[in-house]
Amino acid sequence: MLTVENLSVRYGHIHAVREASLTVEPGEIVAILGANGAGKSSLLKAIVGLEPAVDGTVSWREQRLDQLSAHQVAHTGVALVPEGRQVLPTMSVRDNLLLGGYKHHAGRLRDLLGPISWLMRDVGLQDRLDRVFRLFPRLEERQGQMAGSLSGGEQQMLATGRALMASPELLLLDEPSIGLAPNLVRDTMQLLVGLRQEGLTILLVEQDAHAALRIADRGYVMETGRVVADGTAKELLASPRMRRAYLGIA
Amino acid sequence: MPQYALSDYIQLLVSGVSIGSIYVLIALGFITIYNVTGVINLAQGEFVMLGAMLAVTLLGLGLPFIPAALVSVALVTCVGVITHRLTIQPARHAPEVSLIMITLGTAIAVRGLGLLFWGTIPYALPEFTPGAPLQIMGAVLSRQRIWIMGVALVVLIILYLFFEHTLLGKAVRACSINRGSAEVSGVDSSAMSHLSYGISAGMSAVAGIVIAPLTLVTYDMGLGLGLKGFIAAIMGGMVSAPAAVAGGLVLGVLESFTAGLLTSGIKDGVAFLALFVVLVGRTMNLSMRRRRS
Repeated sequence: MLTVENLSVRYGHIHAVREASLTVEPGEIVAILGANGAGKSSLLKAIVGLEPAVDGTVSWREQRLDQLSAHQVAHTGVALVPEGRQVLPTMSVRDNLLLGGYKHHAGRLRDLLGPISWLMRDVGLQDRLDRVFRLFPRLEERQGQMAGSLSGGEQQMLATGRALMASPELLLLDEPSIGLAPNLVRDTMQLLVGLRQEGLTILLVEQDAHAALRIADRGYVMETGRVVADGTAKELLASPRMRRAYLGIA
Repeated sequence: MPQYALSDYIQLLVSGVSIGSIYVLIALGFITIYNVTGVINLAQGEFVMLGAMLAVTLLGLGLPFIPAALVSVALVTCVGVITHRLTIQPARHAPEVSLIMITLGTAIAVRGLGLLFWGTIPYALPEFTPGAPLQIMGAVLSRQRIWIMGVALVVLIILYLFFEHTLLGKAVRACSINRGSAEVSGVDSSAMSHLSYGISAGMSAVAGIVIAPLTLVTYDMGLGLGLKGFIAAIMGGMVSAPAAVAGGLVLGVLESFTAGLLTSGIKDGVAFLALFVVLVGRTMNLSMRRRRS
Protein backbone atom coordinates (compact mmCIF):
# COMPACT_ATOMS: atom_id res chain seq x y z
CA MET A 1 0.00 0.00 0.00
CA LEU A 2 1.15 3.51 -0.81
CA THR A 3 0.51 6.07 1.89
CA VAL A 4 1.16 9.76 1.46
CA GLU A 5 0.66 11.85 4.58
CA ASN A 6 0.64 15.65 4.83
CA LEU A 7 3.11 15.96 2.00
CA SER A 8 4.29 19.46 1.07
CA VAL A 9 6.48 20.48 -1.85
CA ARG A 10 7.85 23.95 -2.35
CA TYR A 11 9.78 25.60 -5.18
CA GLY A 12 11.27 28.71 -3.62
CA HIS A 13 8.26 30.70 -2.46
CA ILE A 14 5.74 28.69 -4.42
CA HIS A 15 3.87 26.11 -2.41
CA ALA A 16 3.24 23.50 -5.11
CA VAL A 17 1.76 20.87 -2.79
CA ARG A 18 0.23 21.65 0.62
CA GLU A 19 -0.25 18.87 3.14
CA ALA A 20 -1.58 16.38 0.64
CA SER A 21 -2.62 12.95 1.92
CA LEU A 22 -3.71 9.93 -0.05
CA THR A 23 -3.57 6.16 -0.08
CA VAL A 24 -3.46 3.58 -2.83
CA GLU A 25 -4.38 0.00 -1.95
CA PRO A 26 -2.70 -2.92 -3.74
CA GLY A 27 -4.38 -3.66 -7.06
CA GLU A 28 -6.23 -0.34 -7.19
CA ILE A 29 -6.30 2.24 -9.94
CA VAL A 30 -6.41 5.65 -8.29
CA ALA A 31 -6.68 8.91 -10.23
CA ILE A 32 -5.47 12.34 -9.14
CA LEU A 33 -7.49 14.97 -10.95
CA GLY A 34 -7.24 18.69 -11.15
CA ALA A 35 -6.51 21.65 -13.37
CA ASN A 36 -3.13 22.67 -14.71
CA GLY A 37 -0.85 23.82 -11.89
CA ALA A 38 -2.90 22.17 -9.15
CA GLY A 39 0.22 20.37 -7.92
CA LYS A 40 -0.53 16.91 -9.31
CA SER A 41 2.81 16.46 -11.06
CA SER A 42 4.75 17.86 -8.12
CA LEU A 43 3.03 15.32 -5.91
CA LEU A 44 4.09 12.44 -8.15
CA LYS A 45 7.63 13.78 -8.40
CA ALA A 46 7.86 14.00 -4.64
CA ILE A 47 6.62 10.41 -4.29
CA VAL A 48 9.39 9.07 -6.55
CA GLY A 49 12.06 11.32 -5.05
CA LEU A 50 12.58 13.65 -8.00
CA GLU A 51 11.50 16.60 -5.85
CA PRO A 52 12.35 16.85 -2.17
CA ALA A 53 9.35 17.04 0.13
CA VAL A 54 9.69 19.85 2.66
CA ASP A 55 7.28 18.10 4.98
CA GLY A 56 5.23 14.95 5.30
CA THR A 57 5.88 11.27 4.66
CA VAL A 58 5.57 8.80 1.82
CA SER A 59 5.59 5.10 2.54
CA TRP A 60 5.25 2.12 0.28
CA ARG A 61 4.92 -1.36 1.79
CA GLU A 62 6.13 -0.27 5.21
CA GLN A 63 9.16 1.43 3.65
CA ARG A 64 9.71 5.19 3.86
CA LEU A 65 10.33 6.67 0.40
CA ASP A 66 10.59 10.32 1.37
CA GLN A 67 14.20 9.98 2.52
CA LEU A 68 15.32 8.12 -0.61
CA SER A 69 16.66 9.56 -3.84
CA ALA A 70 14.92 8.73 -7.10
CA HIS A 71 17.19 5.86 -8.12
CA GLN A 72 16.69 4.22 -4.73
CA VAL A 73 12.92 4.55 -5.06
CA ALA A 74 13.19 2.73 -8.41
CA HIS A 75 14.65 -0.25 -6.55
CA THR A 76 11.61 -0.50 -4.28
CA GLY A 77 9.37 -1.47 -7.21
CA VAL A 78 7.96 1.96 -8.03
CA ALA A 79 8.14 3.21 -11.63
CA LEU A 80 7.10 6.53 -13.14
CA VAL A 81 5.91 7.38 -16.63
CA PRO A 82 6.90 11.03 -16.46
CA GLU A 83 5.08 14.10 -17.66
CA GLY A 84 5.93 14.83 -21.28
CA ARG A 85 7.27 11.27 -21.79
CA GLN A 86 10.92 12.25 -21.26
CA VAL A 87 12.26 9.55 -23.55
CA LEU A 88 15.96 9.81 -24.49
CA PRO A 89 15.55 11.28 -27.99
CA THR A 90 19.08 10.62 -29.27
CA MET A 91 19.11 6.99 -28.20
CA SER A 92 17.39 4.08 -29.91
CA VAL A 93 14.03 2.72 -28.81
CA ARG A 94 15.75 -0.47 -27.68
CA ASP A 95 18.35 1.43 -25.63
CA ASN A 96 15.56 3.41 -23.97
CA LEU A 97 13.92 0.13 -22.99
CA LEU A 98 17.20 -1.43 -21.82
CA LEU A 99 17.83 1.57 -19.59
CA GLY A 100 14.30 1.28 -18.26
CA GLY A 101 15.32 -2.09 -16.84
CA TYR A 102 18.65 -0.77 -15.54
CA LYS A 103 17.77 -1.57 -11.94
CA HIS A 104 17.84 -5.31 -12.67
CA HIS A 105 21.49 -4.99 -13.68
CA ALA A 106 22.68 -2.19 -11.42
CA GLY A 107 24.84 -4.23 -9.06
CA ARG A 108 26.22 -6.67 -11.63
CA LEU A 109 29.55 -5.66 -13.17
CA ARG A 110 29.30 -8.31 -15.88
CA ASP A 111 25.97 -6.87 -17.05
CA LEU A 112 27.16 -3.28 -16.82
CA LEU A 113 30.51 -3.65 -18.58
CA GLY A 114 29.99 -6.65 -20.82
CA PRO A 115 28.98 -6.11 -24.46
CA ILE A 116 25.26 -5.46 -24.87
CA SER A 117 25.06 -8.62 -26.99
CA TRP A 118 25.94 -10.68 -23.87
CA LEU A 119 23.34 -8.83 -21.89
CA MET A 120 20.73 -9.60 -24.53
CA ARG A 121 21.21 -13.32 -23.77
CA ASP A 122 19.91 -12.69 -20.25
CA VAL A 123 16.68 -14.68 -19.99
CA GLY A 124 15.03 -12.23 -17.63
CA LEU A 125 15.78 -9.31 -19.92
CA GLN A 126 14.38 -11.16 -22.95
CA ASP A 127 11.19 -11.92 -21.04
CA ARG A 128 10.77 -8.30 -20.02
CA LEU A 129 11.43 -7.07 -23.56
CA ASP A 130 9.03 -9.62 -25.05
CA ARG A 131 6.33 -8.57 -22.64
CA VAL A 132 6.71 -4.91 -23.61
CA PHE A 133 6.78 -5.79 -27.31
CA ARG A 134 3.62 -7.88 -26.87
CA LEU A 135 1.86 -4.84 -25.36
CA PHE A 136 3.34 -2.47 -27.96
CA PRO A 137 4.14 -4.29 -31.22
CA ARG A 138 4.92 -0.89 -32.73
CA LEU A 139 7.96 -0.56 -30.46
CA GLU A 140 9.34 -3.86 -31.70
CA GLU A 141 9.09 -2.66 -35.29
CA ARG A 142 10.89 0.56 -34.40
CA GLN A 143 13.42 -0.73 -31.89
CA GLY A 144 16.42 0.45 -33.90
CA GLN A 145 15.01 3.91 -34.52
CA MET A 146 15.97 6.99 -32.48
CA ALA A 147 13.32 7.65 -29.84
CA GLY A 148 13.16 11.30 -30.90
CA SER A 149 11.86 10.30 -34.33
CA LEU A 150 8.76 8.58 -32.91
CA SER A 151 5.32 10.15 -33.00
CA GLY A 152 3.79 11.45 -29.79
CA GLY A 153 1.66 8.34 -29.37
CA GLU A 154 4.65 6.06 -29.94
CA GLN A 155 6.73 8.05 -27.46
CA GLN A 156 3.97 7.54 -24.91
CA MET A 157 4.16 3.79 -25.60
CA LEU A 158 7.94 3.93 -25.18
CA ALA A 159 7.71 5.86 -21.91
CA THR A 160 5.20 3.32 -20.60
CA GLY A 161 7.21 0.37 -21.92
CA ARG A 162 10.35 1.77 -20.34
CA ALA A 163 8.63 1.98 -16.95
CA LEU A 164 7.36 -1.59 -17.34
CA MET A 165 10.91 -2.82 -18.08
CA ALA A 166 11.62 -2.15 -14.42
CA SER A 167 8.94 -4.78 -13.54
CA PRO A 168 7.30 -2.40 -11.09
CA GLU A 169 4.58 -3.24 -8.61
CA LEU A 170 3.41 0.36 -8.40
CA LEU A 171 3.12 2.31 -11.62
CA LEU A 172 2.74 6.09 -11.53
CA LEU A 173 1.65 7.87 -14.68
CA ASP A 174 1.79 11.62 -15.17
CA GLU A 175 -0.72 12.84 -17.77
CA PRO A 176 -0.39 9.86 -20.12
CA SER A 177 -3.23 11.14 -22.31
CA ILE A 178 -1.85 14.60 -22.97
CA GLY A 179 -1.54 15.40 -26.66
CA LEU A 180 -3.00 12.06 -27.74
CA ALA A 181 -5.89 11.51 -30.15
CA PRO A 182 -9.10 10.26 -28.46
CA ASN A 183 -8.70 6.70 -29.75
CA LEU A 184 -5.15 6.57 -28.35
CA VAL A 185 -6.40 7.86 -25.00
CA ARG A 186 -8.89 5.00 -24.98
CA ASP A 187 -6.10 2.50 -25.82
CA THR A 188 -3.94 3.87 -23.02
CA MET A 189 -6.73 3.55 -20.48
CA GLN A 190 -7.54 0.01 -21.67
CA LEU A 191 -3.88 -0.86 -21.29
CA LEU A 192 -3.92 0.30 -17.68
CA VAL A 193 -6.97 -1.85 -16.97
CA GLY A 194 -5.07 -4.81 -18.43
CA LEU A 195 -1.99 -4.08 -16.33
CA ARG A 196 -4.09 -3.91 -13.20
CA GLN A 197 -5.50 -7.35 -13.99
CA GLU A 198 -1.91 -8.59 -14.07
CA GLY A 199 -1.52 -7.35 -10.49
CA LEU A 200 -0.10 -3.86 -10.91
CA THR A 201 -1.13 -1.03 -8.62
CA ILE A 202 -1.66 2.20 -10.53
CA LEU A 203 -1.67 5.86 -9.54
CA LEU A 204 -2.66 8.07 -12.42
CA VAL A 205 -2.45 11.85 -12.70
CA GLU A 206 -4.87 13.18 -15.31
CA GLN A 207 -6.44 16.35 -16.56
CA ASP A 208 -8.85 14.33 -18.62
CA ALA A 209 -11.12 13.48 -15.69
CA HIS A 210 -13.65 11.62 -17.86
CA ALA A 211 -11.09 9.21 -19.26
CA ALA A 212 -9.45 8.66 -15.87
CA LEU A 213 -12.63 8.10 -13.86
CA ARG A 214 -13.91 5.60 -16.39
CA ILE A 215 -11.16 3.16 -15.33
CA ALA A 216 -10.29 4.33 -11.81
CA ASP A 217 -11.62 2.82 -8.59
CA ARG A 218 -11.14 6.02 -6.63
CA GLY A 219 -10.01 9.54 -7.22
CA TYR A 220 -8.59 12.59 -5.48
CA VAL A 221 -9.15 16.14 -6.67
CA MET A 222 -6.43 18.75 -6.22
CA GLU A 223 -6.72 22.51 -6.29
CA THR A 224 -3.81 24.94 -5.70
CA GLY A 225 -1.72 22.27 -4.03
CA ARG A 226 -4.40 20.85 -1.73
CA VAL A 227 -6.49 17.73 -1.95
CA VAL A 228 -10.00 19.20 -1.90
CA ALA A 229 -12.12 16.14 -2.58
CA ASP A 230 -11.87 12.41 -2.77
CA GLY A 231 -14.15 9.46 -3.26
CA THR A 232 -14.95 6.51 -5.46
CA ALA A 233 -15.03 7.14 -9.18
CA LYS A 234 -18.80 6.87 -9.10
CA GLU A 235 -19.14 9.43 -6.30
CA LEU A 236 -16.83 11.88 -8.04
CA LEU A 237 -18.64 11.50 -11.35
CA ALA A 238 -21.92 12.23 -9.58
CA SER A 239 -20.73 15.13 -7.45
CA PRO A 240 -22.12 18.45 -8.72
CA ARG A 241 -18.93 20.27 -7.86
CA MET A 242 -16.84 17.85 -9.94
CA ARG A 243 -19.27 17.99 -12.82
CA ARG A 244 -19.08 21.77 -12.90
CA ALA A 245 -15.36 22.19 -12.40
CA TYR A 246 -13.77 19.28 -14.24
CA LEU A 247 -16.22 17.42 -16.35
CA GLY A 248 -17.64 20.36 -18.20
CA ILE A 249 -21.21 19.32 -17.41
CA ALA A 250 -23.54 21.93 -15.98
CA MET B 1 59.98 32.40 -49.46
CA PRO B 2 61.78 29.07 -49.06
CA GLN B 3 60.76 26.11 -51.18
CA TYR B 4 59.17 23.13 -49.41
CA ALA B 5 59.14 19.56 -50.61
CA LEU B 6 56.15 17.25 -50.26
CA SER B 7 58.00 15.41 -47.50
CA ASP B 8 58.10 18.63 -45.45
CA TYR B 9 54.33 18.89 -45.62
CA ILE B 10 53.94 15.26 -44.63
CA GLN B 11 56.31 15.85 -41.76
CA LEU B 12 54.28 18.82 -40.54
CA LEU B 13 51.00 16.98 -41.03
CA VAL B 14 52.11 13.98 -39.01
CA SER B 15 53.55 16.05 -36.16
CA GLY B 16 50.32 18.05 -36.22
CA VAL B 17 48.19 14.94 -36.01
CA SER B 18 50.28 13.50 -33.18
CA ILE B 19 50.11 16.64 -31.03
CA GLY B 20 46.47 16.97 -32.09
CA SER B 21 45.82 13.48 -30.70
CA ILE B 22 46.89 14.78 -27.31
CA TYR B 23 44.45 17.68 -27.63
CA VAL B 24 41.75 15.17 -28.60
CA LEU B 25 42.25 13.16 -25.41
CA ILE B 26 42.08 16.30 -23.28
CA ALA B 27 39.10 17.67 -25.23
CA LEU B 28 37.17 14.42 -24.74
CA GLY B 29 37.87 14.76 -21.03
CA PHE B 30 36.29 18.22 -21.10
CA ILE B 31 33.16 17.14 -22.92
CA THR B 32 32.67 13.94 -20.89
CA ILE B 33 32.51 15.96 -17.70
CA TYR B 34 30.56 18.80 -19.30
CA ASN B 35 27.88 16.52 -20.73
CA VAL B 36 27.26 14.55 -17.59
CA THR B 37 27.67 17.20 -14.90
CA GLY B 38 27.29 20.49 -16.79
CA VAL B 39 30.64 21.66 -15.42
CA ILE B 40 33.45 23.10 -17.53
CA ASN B 41 36.37 21.62 -15.65
CA LEU B 42 39.26 24.06 -15.89
CA ALA B 43 41.38 21.68 -13.81
CA GLN B 44 41.50 19.23 -16.74
CA GLY B 45 45.09 20.20 -17.60
CA GLU B 46 46.20 19.47 -14.05
CA PHE B 47 45.16 15.85 -14.52
CA VAL B 48 47.52 15.79 -17.53
CA MET B 49 50.35 17.11 -15.38
CA LEU B 50 49.60 14.71 -12.53
CA GLY B 51 49.60 11.75 -14.93
CA ALA B 52 53.04 12.62 -16.27
CA MET B 53 54.51 13.62 -12.89
CA LEU B 54 53.28 10.51 -11.08
CA ALA B 55 54.65 8.31 -13.86
CA VAL B 56 58.05 10.04 -13.52
CA THR B 57 57.98 9.66 -9.74
CA LEU B 58 56.96 6.00 -9.85
CA LEU B 59 59.71 5.27 -12.38
CA GLY B 60 62.11 7.01 -10.02
CA LEU B 61 60.94 4.71 -7.22
CA GLY B 62 62.11 1.78 -9.33
CA LEU B 63 58.84 0.62 -10.90
CA PRO B 64 59.17 -0.65 -14.49
CA PHE B 65 57.60 1.60 -17.11
CA ILE B 66 54.31 -0.18 -17.82
CA PRO B 67 53.27 -0.64 -14.17
CA ALA B 68 54.35 2.93 -13.45
CA ALA B 69 52.18 4.25 -16.27
CA LEU B 70 49.18 2.10 -15.28
CA VAL B 71 49.43 2.98 -11.59
CA SER B 72 49.72 6.65 -12.50
CA VAL B 73 46.58 6.51 -14.66
CA ALA B 74 44.73 4.65 -11.91
CA LEU B 75 45.81 7.16 -9.27
CA VAL B 76 44.78 10.14 -11.39
CA THR B 77 41.43 8.46 -12.09
CA CYS B 78 40.93 8.28 -8.32
CA VAL B 79 42.04 11.91 -7.98
CA GLY B 80 39.36 12.80 -10.54
CA VAL B 81 36.64 10.99 -8.59
CA ILE B 82 37.79 12.54 -5.32
CA THR B 83 37.92 16.00 -6.90
CA HIS B 84 34.32 15.62 -7.98
CA ARG B 85 33.25 14.29 -4.60
CA LEU B 86 34.96 17.03 -2.62
CA THR B 87 34.66 20.10 -4.84
CA ILE B 88 31.76 19.73 -7.28
CA GLN B 89 29.14 17.52 -5.67
CA PRO B 90 28.71 19.60 -2.51
CA ALA B 91 28.12 22.64 -4.74
CA ARG B 92 26.09 20.97 -7.49
CA HIS B 93 23.11 23.30 -7.02
CA ALA B 94 25.32 26.39 -7.36
CA PRO B 95 25.16 28.46 -10.55
CA GLU B 96 27.37 27.39 -13.43
CA VAL B 97 29.78 30.29 -13.02
CA SER B 98 30.44 29.34 -9.40
CA LEU B 99 31.20 25.78 -10.47
CA ILE B 100 33.67 27.03 -13.07
CA MET B 101 35.33 29.19 -10.42
CA ILE B 102 35.60 26.11 -8.19
CA THR B 103 37.37 24.16 -10.94
CA LEU B 104 39.69 27.12 -11.51
CA GLY B 105 40.50 27.11 -7.81
CA THR B 106 41.14 23.38 -7.94
CA ALA B 107 43.49 23.88 -10.89
CA ILE B 108 45.49 26.53 -9.04
CA ALA B 109 45.60 24.42 -5.88
CA VAL B 110 46.78 21.29 -7.70
CA ARG B 111 49.40 23.28 -9.61
CA GLY B 112 50.57 24.77 -6.30
CA LEU B 113 50.82 21.33 -4.72
CA GLY B 114 52.73 20.18 -7.80
CA LEU B 115 55.17 23.01 -7.28
CA LEU B 116 55.59 22.04 -3.60
CA PHE B 117 56.19 18.37 -4.34
CA TRP B 118 58.21 18.50 -7.52
CA GLY B 119 59.68 22.02 -7.60
CA THR B 120 60.28 23.99 -10.76
CA ILE B 121 62.79 21.63 -12.35
CA PRO B 122 61.65 19.84 -15.49
CA TYR B 123 61.69 16.04 -15.41
CA ALA B 124 62.22 13.74 -18.35
CA LEU B 125 60.24 10.63 -19.15
CA PRO B 126 62.11 8.25 -21.49
CA GLU B 127 60.61 7.41 -24.87
CA PHE B 128 58.50 4.26 -24.73
CA THR B 129 60.69 2.54 -27.33
CA PRO B 130 63.91 4.48 -27.81
CA GLY B 131 65.54 4.19 -31.18
CA ALA B 132 66.22 5.94 -34.42
CA PRO B 133 63.31 7.86 -35.91
CA LEU B 134 61.33 6.22 -38.68
CA GLN B 135 61.33 7.45 -42.27
CA ILE B 136 57.93 7.61 -43.92
CA MET B 137 57.73 9.03 -47.46
CA GLY B 138 60.75 11.20 -46.77
CA ALA B 139 59.35 12.51 -43.49
CA VAL B 140 61.27 11.81 -40.30
CA LEU B 141 59.09 10.63 -37.49
CA SER B 142 60.14 9.95 -33.91
CA ARG B 143 58.88 6.68 -32.51
CA GLN B 144 57.16 8.49 -29.66
CA ARG B 145 54.85 10.28 -32.11
CA ILE B 146 53.68 6.91 -33.39
CA TRP B 147 53.05 5.87 -29.79
CA ILE B 148 51.02 9.02 -29.19
CA MET B 149 48.77 8.39 -32.18
CA GLY B 150 48.45 4.67 -31.43
CA VAL B 151 47.60 5.17 -27.76
CA ALA B 152 45.10 7.93 -28.59
CA LEU B 153 43.43 5.65 -31.12
CA VAL B 154 43.21 2.81 -28.58
CA VAL B 155 41.70 5.15 -25.97
CA LEU B 156 39.17 6.39 -28.54
CA ILE B 157 38.16 2.84 -29.41
CA ILE B 158 37.77 1.87 -25.74
CA LEU B 159 35.72 5.00 -25.13
CA TYR B 160 33.52 4.26 -28.12
CA LEU B 161 32.94 0.67 -27.04
CA PHE B 162 32.13 1.81 -23.52
CA PHE B 163 29.61 4.48 -24.48
CA GLU B 164 27.99 2.61 -27.37
CA HIS B 165 28.14 -1.05 -26.40
CA THR B 166 27.88 -1.36 -22.61
CA LEU B 167 24.90 -0.74 -20.38
CA LEU B 168 26.98 1.34 -17.97
CA GLY B 169 28.16 3.57 -20.83
CA LYS B 170 24.59 4.00 -21.98
CA ALA B 171 23.55 4.85 -18.43
CA VAL B 172 26.20 7.60 -18.31
CA ARG B 173 24.87 8.93 -21.63
CA ALA B 174 21.31 8.73 -20.33
CA CYS B 175 22.33 10.97 -17.41
CA SER B 176 23.82 13.47 -19.82
CA ILE B 177 20.58 13.56 -21.85
CA ASN B 178 18.01 13.51 -19.07
CA ARG B 179 19.18 13.07 -15.49
CA GLY B 180 15.69 12.80 -14.04
CA SER B 181 14.48 10.04 -16.31
CA ALA B 182 17.72 8.10 -15.82
CA GLU B 183 17.29 8.36 -12.05
CA VAL B 184 13.70 7.14 -12.23
CA SER B 185 14.97 4.03 -14.05
CA GLY B 186 17.30 3.32 -11.14
CA VAL B 187 20.49 4.93 -12.48
CA ASP B 188 22.45 6.55 -9.66
CA SER B 189 23.24 9.81 -11.45
CA SER B 190 25.69 11.06 -8.86
CA ALA B 191 27.68 7.82 -9.26
CA MET B 192 27.66 8.47 -13.01
CA SER B 193 29.03 11.97 -12.39
CA HIS B 194 31.82 10.46 -10.31
CA LEU B 195 32.49 8.00 -13.08
CA SER B 196 32.62 10.72 -15.73
CA TYR B 197 35.17 12.62 -13.67
CA GLY B 198 37.22 9.45 -13.24
CA ILE B 199 37.14 8.57 -16.94
CA SER B 200 38.07 12.04 -18.00
CA ALA B 201 40.88 12.39 -15.45
CA GLY B 202 42.25 8.99 -16.48
CA MET B 203 42.20 9.96 -20.15
CA SER B 204 44.05 13.17 -19.40
CA ALA B 205 46.66 11.24 -17.41
CA VAL B 206 47.21 9.01 -20.44
CA ALA B 207 47.69 12.14 -22.56
CA GLY B 208 50.26 13.47 -20.08
CA ILE B 209 52.24 10.23 -20.04
CA VAL B 210 52.41 9.80 -23.80
CA ILE B 211 53.40 13.39 -24.50
CA ALA B 212 55.93 13.65 -21.64
CA PRO B 213 58.89 12.14 -23.56
CA LEU B 214 58.52 14.89 -26.18
CA THR B 215 58.05 17.89 -23.93
CA LEU B 216 59.58 17.29 -20.48
CA VAL B 217 57.40 17.31 -17.40
CA THR B 218 56.93 20.44 -15.30
CA TYR B 219 54.51 21.35 -12.55
CA ASP B 220 52.83 23.92 -14.82
CA MET B 221 52.58 21.89 -18.04
CA GLY B 222 48.86 21.43 -17.45
CA LEU B 223 48.01 25.06 -18.05
CA GLY B 224 48.96 25.17 -21.71
CA LEU B 225 47.80 21.66 -22.58
CA GLY B 226 44.53 22.11 -20.74
CA LEU B 227 43.85 25.31 -22.66
CA LYS B 228 44.56 23.65 -26.00
CA GLY B 229 42.25 20.77 -25.09
CA PHE B 230 39.59 23.27 -24.07
CA ILE B 231 39.92 25.11 -27.37
CA ALA B 232 39.63 21.81 -29.25
CA ALA B 233 36.49 20.95 -27.26
CA ILE B 234 34.95 24.35 -28.03
CA MET B 235 35.87 24.02 -31.72
CA GLY B 236 33.93 20.76 -31.61
CA GLY B 237 30.91 22.44 -30.02
CA MET B 238 31.49 21.05 -26.50
CA VAL B 239 28.96 18.24 -26.89
CA SER B 240 29.88 15.85 -29.67
CA ALA B 241 32.83 13.46 -29.36
CA PRO B 242 33.50 13.12 -33.12
CA ALA B 243 33.47 16.92 -33.46
CA ALA B 244 35.94 17.21 -30.57
CA VAL B 245 38.22 14.68 -32.29
CA ALA B 246 38.08 16.80 -35.45
CA GLY B 247 38.65 19.96 -33.40
CA GLY B 248 41.75 18.53 -31.71
CA LEU B 249 43.29 17.26 -34.94
CA VAL B 250 42.60 20.49 -36.84
CA LEU B 251 44.12 22.50 -34.01
CA GLY B 252 47.25 20.32 -33.91
CA VAL B 253 47.75 20.49 -37.67
CA LEU B 254 47.13 24.26 -37.77
CA GLU B 255 49.74 24.79 -35.09
CA SER B 256 52.23 22.51 -36.74
CA PHE B 257 51.91 24.20 -40.13
CA THR B 258 52.15 27.67 -38.61
CA ALA B 259 55.27 26.73 -36.69
CA GLY B 260 56.82 24.97 -39.68
CA LEU B 261 55.95 27.36 -42.49
CA LEU B 262 55.81 30.72 -40.69
CA THR B 263 57.42 30.94 -37.29
CA SER B 264 57.08 28.87 -34.14
CA GLY B 265 56.67 32.04 -32.08
CA ILE B 266 53.05 32.53 -33.15
CA LYS B 267 52.10 28.86 -32.78
CA ASP B 268 50.12 29.46 -29.59
CA GLY B 269 48.56 32.56 -31.11
CA VAL B 270 46.99 30.34 -33.76
CA ALA B 271 45.13 28.35 -31.13
CA PHE B 272 43.64 31.48 -29.65
CA LEU B 273 42.85 32.87 -33.08
CA ALA B 274 41.00 29.64 -33.83
CA LEU B 275 39.11 29.95 -30.56
CA PHE B 276 38.25 33.56 -31.37
CA VAL B 277 37.00 32.72 -34.85
CA VAL B 278 34.90 29.80 -33.59
CA LEU B 279 33.34 31.82 -30.77
CA VAL B 280 32.60 34.87 -32.90
CA GLY B 281 31.25 32.68 -35.68
CA ARG B 282 29.02 30.86 -33.26
CA THR B 283 27.70 34.06 -31.66
CA MET B 284 26.94 35.55 -35.07
CA ASN B 285 25.24 32.36 -36.13
CA LEU B 286 23.12 32.43 -32.97
CA SER B 287 22.12 36.06 -33.28
CA MET B 288 21.29 35.56 -36.95
CA ARG B 289 19.10 32.62 -36.11
CA ARG B 290 17.41 34.65 -33.39
CA ARG B 291 16.71 37.47 -35.83
CA ARG B 292 15.24 35.05 -38.33
CA SER B 293 12.87 33.52 -35.79
